[in-house]
Amino acid sequence: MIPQLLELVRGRGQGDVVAKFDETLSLTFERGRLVSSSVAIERGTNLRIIADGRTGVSGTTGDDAEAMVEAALNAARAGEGGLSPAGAEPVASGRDPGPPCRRRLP
Amino acid sequence: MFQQISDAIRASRADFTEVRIERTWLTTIAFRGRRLETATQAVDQGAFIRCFAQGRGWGLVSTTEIERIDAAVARAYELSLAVPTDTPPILAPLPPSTAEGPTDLAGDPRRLSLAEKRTLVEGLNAELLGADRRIAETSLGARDEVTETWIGNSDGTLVREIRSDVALAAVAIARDEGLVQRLVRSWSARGGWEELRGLDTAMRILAERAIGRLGARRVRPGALPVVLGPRAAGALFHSVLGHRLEADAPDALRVGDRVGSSLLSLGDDGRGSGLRGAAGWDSEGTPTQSTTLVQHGVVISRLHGRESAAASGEAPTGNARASSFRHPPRPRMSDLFLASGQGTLADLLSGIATGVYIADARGVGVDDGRVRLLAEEAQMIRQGELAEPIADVVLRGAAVELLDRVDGVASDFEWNRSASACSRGGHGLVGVGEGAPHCRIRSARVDGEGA
Repeated sequence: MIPQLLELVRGRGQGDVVAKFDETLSLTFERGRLVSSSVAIERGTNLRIIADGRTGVSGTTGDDAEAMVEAALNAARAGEGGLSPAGAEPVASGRDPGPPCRRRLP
Repeated sequence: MFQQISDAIRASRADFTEVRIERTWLTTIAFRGRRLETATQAVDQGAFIRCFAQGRGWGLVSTTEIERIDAAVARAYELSLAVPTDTPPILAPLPPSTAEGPTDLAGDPRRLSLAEKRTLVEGLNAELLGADRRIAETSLGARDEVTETWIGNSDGTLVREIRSDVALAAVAIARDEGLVQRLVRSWSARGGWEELRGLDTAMRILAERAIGRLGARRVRPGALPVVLGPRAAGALFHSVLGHRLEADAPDALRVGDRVGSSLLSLGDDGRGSGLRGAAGWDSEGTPTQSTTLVQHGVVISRLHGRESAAASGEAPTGNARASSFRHPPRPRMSDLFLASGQGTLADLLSGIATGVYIADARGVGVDDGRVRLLAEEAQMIRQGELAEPIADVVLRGAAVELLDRVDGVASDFEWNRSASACSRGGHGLVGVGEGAPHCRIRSARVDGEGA
């Protein structure tokens, strides 16, 4: 997906891509016995584009490169001038190790 | 997608196999003051698979590789084989659901461009910032989500559903002559961004209320009558009773337990139109429903998924919820409500010489049966009337005593329509709604140490 993304960015701005793939095996033992086993497979890609002096980012755990470039360009157009994509958080990933209950706002 | 799920389940060697695939389109926009902090879009997709082989425990796989569901099902089966157990999972029997919901979504947030959404949020932010010179700072965050879910299992269930949610949270910070007050409100809309267009007035009211609280003093600590507004009451009952009605909670209540005053009747509505926690099916593919949980202070049913229902001999209630494909379903609240009683707010206030009114809660903590509710907005009650605002109010007490001392529940029920989310253990955030009328606690410990 990375070469495809960079190819799509060519001529529309500058871009960089961060991709990750990880696989986690979790085993839980109680009193020496295995009581649960799980696997988490996580693939994610983030794209940052600088177009017309504005920065836009997008992210996906899917594989639609064109949609991703379009989303990053949209983010650049909707954003402010300058080169900082502050607070961008495109790919939701990982687990929330929160306290027992927490009501909170978005 | 149905075909892919059916094929993978058919090929599974497990006794029971469940596949849940989700695709979520997300937009996040945030302003701090006049500065745009975030405007991004993302697509998050993946599958959660669980199965068990005969005499074995669960094997669980979460994966973003939805094009390889068959491989993930085989992997989950292998994981199950590795878990010998004397108590293999038992699921309550349920007629299979088959439904392919509509593909069209009323007010689909994906139809608005990021630029249009930005303009809308910026407009509300400008309304809040410009409401008064004493509004020194604002923070406005919006997030929309469209989630398409497919659920299939080896019992024959095969359902598909698409839902949307738009959430907005606003923070107003008022400052004047060295005094500072911060006020937060949030809104959620299941019918798209159109529902948020009318919030200009709400922004001005938020600003006015933050300014009105400048100079608010702390309450003198003591035991006083407390009247809770619908939002504060909803938050209290969610935390104090709702979690104990989730059937797999370590301190879960049992059917027949008395939980407090006979004025208390509670339920959970998993299918209410426009409610934040509502859906057609839960994350196991069980149809959702409205369930009466507490009647006249006594538990008559609890919140279940299929596994907890089988373990207790009770019926599934469609509350097995998962925050995303990264989590297994667990019994969780959807939209918890305290049912209406009789009378009005004025009836509850009358006869109170000195008391505290809490309109909204910033947070509620419960630790070992002790409750700590931090008020977002509170004011004194004097001679049966709402009086001056007070700051940093905390209500404390033993949960059992607080619930027992509820001596008035009004008939003015309302859903909070806030953008609340609940995190339970490591199981991720799920959107929840809360609804309640005004209610009164005869006497509770209040102090002003919440800051």
